[in-house]
Amino acid sequence: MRGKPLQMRMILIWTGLFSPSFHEFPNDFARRPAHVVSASFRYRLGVASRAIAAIAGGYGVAALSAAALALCLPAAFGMARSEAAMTGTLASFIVFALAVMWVFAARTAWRAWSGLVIAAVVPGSLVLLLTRAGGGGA
Amino acid sequence: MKEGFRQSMAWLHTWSGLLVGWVLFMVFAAGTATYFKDEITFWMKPELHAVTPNAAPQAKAAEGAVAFLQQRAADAPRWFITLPTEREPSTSVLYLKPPPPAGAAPVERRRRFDQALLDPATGQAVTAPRETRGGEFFYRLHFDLHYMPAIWARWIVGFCAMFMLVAIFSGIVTHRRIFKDFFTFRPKKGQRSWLDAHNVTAVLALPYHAMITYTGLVTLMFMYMPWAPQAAYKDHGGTEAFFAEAFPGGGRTQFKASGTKAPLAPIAPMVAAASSHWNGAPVGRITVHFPNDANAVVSIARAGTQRLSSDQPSMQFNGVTGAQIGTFGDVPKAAAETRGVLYGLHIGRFADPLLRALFFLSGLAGCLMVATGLLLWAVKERQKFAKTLKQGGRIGFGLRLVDGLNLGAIAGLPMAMAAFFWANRLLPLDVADRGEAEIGWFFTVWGAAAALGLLRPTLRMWQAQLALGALLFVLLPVLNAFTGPAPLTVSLRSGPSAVAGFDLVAIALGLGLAGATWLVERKRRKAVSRQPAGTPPGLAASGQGS
Repeated sequence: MRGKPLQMRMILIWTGLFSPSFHEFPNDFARRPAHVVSASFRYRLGVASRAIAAIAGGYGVAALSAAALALCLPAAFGMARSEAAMTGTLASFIVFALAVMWVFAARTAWRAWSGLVIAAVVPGSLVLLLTRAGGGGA
Repeated sequence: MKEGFRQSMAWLHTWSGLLVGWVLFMVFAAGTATYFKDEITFWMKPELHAVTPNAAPQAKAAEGAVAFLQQRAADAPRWFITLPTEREPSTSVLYLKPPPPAGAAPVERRRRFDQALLDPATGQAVTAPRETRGGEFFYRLHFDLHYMPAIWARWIVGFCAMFMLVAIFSGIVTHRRIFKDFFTFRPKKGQRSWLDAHNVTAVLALPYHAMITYTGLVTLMFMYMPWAPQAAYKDHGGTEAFFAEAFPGGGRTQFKASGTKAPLAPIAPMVAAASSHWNGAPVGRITVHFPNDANAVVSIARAGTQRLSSDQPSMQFNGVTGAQIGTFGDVPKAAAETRGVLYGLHIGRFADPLLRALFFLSGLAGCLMVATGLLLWAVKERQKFAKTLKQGGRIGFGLRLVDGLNLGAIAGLPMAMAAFFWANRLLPLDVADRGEAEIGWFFTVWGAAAALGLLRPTLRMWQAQLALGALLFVLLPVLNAFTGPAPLTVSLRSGPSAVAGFDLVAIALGLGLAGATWLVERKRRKAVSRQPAGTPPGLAASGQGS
């Protein structure tokens, strides 16, 4: 590492910090030995993208599912409003954890993102529909 | 992402665990100590050890507390009276001081309260104990951290807890042979042994780990995930309306002072009425909103030891006429009760001494799970540098950082906790802001341990810190004997049992740390004997490390 410019060192430290066990887990990119450097960079980009998908996207899906349950349960099962809100919030943390697991289990980062989008569309449209309908009725 | 589902989950388990492991270790350790919050606080107030409060019926204790508060804080906006229990034989009163005049500097939340312990029979304050945060410090530390706004801390801890939940779920998926793993321990086999130790401590108390992590998120769930009430109550009065509906009798915003004086009605009939409404169950906490005001309201909650849920049924009385206003929580609703039970499981207030001890042991298993997981990462990572090390090279920056943080967190924290107890007994009694000074010692020792660990993450350093921690813990009963009226020889025979329990647990924890020191010593000897002559032992040890 001695003799390398500071920026280079910083990058090495940064990347070294967050995925030193890169070699242990071959992925789509790492199987191309001809472009090892760019492959490792793309791999790290993939991990970063998945981390964002898991943390921000997972939270979004969990929040939407909580809101959707809170709105749907009274309409569907006649549950009290406060009970539905409670149920939705209690369930949302499990949804969050499962979303994170999905993101890292998906074969590619693109698949991970698109799965999240699909998982968000269903509760998202329900929330939109029911808040519109509720707002119109009130 | 990886070859198969289990491989990718193993990856997720490794990284989600590592990145938040150090914070989680502290949260687990401080949270485990919190199971004995009352006992720790009691031990840290030796002035109370020789005083045996006289038992009295609940109504009399309540009357005494009200009389005391009328003298001490007649104009306070709110009084909180906690009647004596088996764990806490004195009546505890807490009151909100009147707000500072407009324009004055805002007062830190904690300093707006004043408190006292009363003898239930006489209503007199028991000997003023020394100023200390006691076990309350560990309780707050495990979700409010310290030296930062509580709201940031709660988000940080919540983030780590969510990672932990993911690590637990993915950890379960990773184990094909979860039952078999539980009965597998292969000692003295390096990485294998660490893996087995991690599996045993994790699987042994797995239901506990999953429960405590999920319920921890549940305790603050409306802060982390406010969207369900917000969406459902958007056109129905907002989240305020939600809380009023979901937690009837729990709100305080609906009470307003009138500004007109009016004498407070006697408390004893209210206590009797509440207790008989709950079929004779004891009363727990009494809250008086705006005492001596025409709008005074007395709220009485049932004692918390009766049921699993943290939500207790409560009753409200008009503070001037003594008439009953309403009863709340007699018929719990399903989802609200589920949340109450989850919350109750987290705080474990229902637990009798044996169950409490089991919770404590499970919490210790949680500490070991996090610690062995962190060490396992370092041991695995080190193997990648085996060749480099043989050629006299150095380990990578990431591994060195993890080594240092592991040392500071795992070996440093017990030492800091013990130092907190030593500071409690050794600091002069008249030090300004004594409670905060004790906490200062905790963080000074922990900071020093972490700095030394990062500078020299060697086996020798592990040994030194573990040994010092062991010594500080084992000697706590000796310290107690010299600085308090209830040494172990007395407390074992004639009480107080909380002091005897604290001393015995301190010895046990100290012996555990001594055992860990001995294990490191054995490892270091082996490392030195394997090294060719001429290499300084310190270097060899650091090469073999952790």
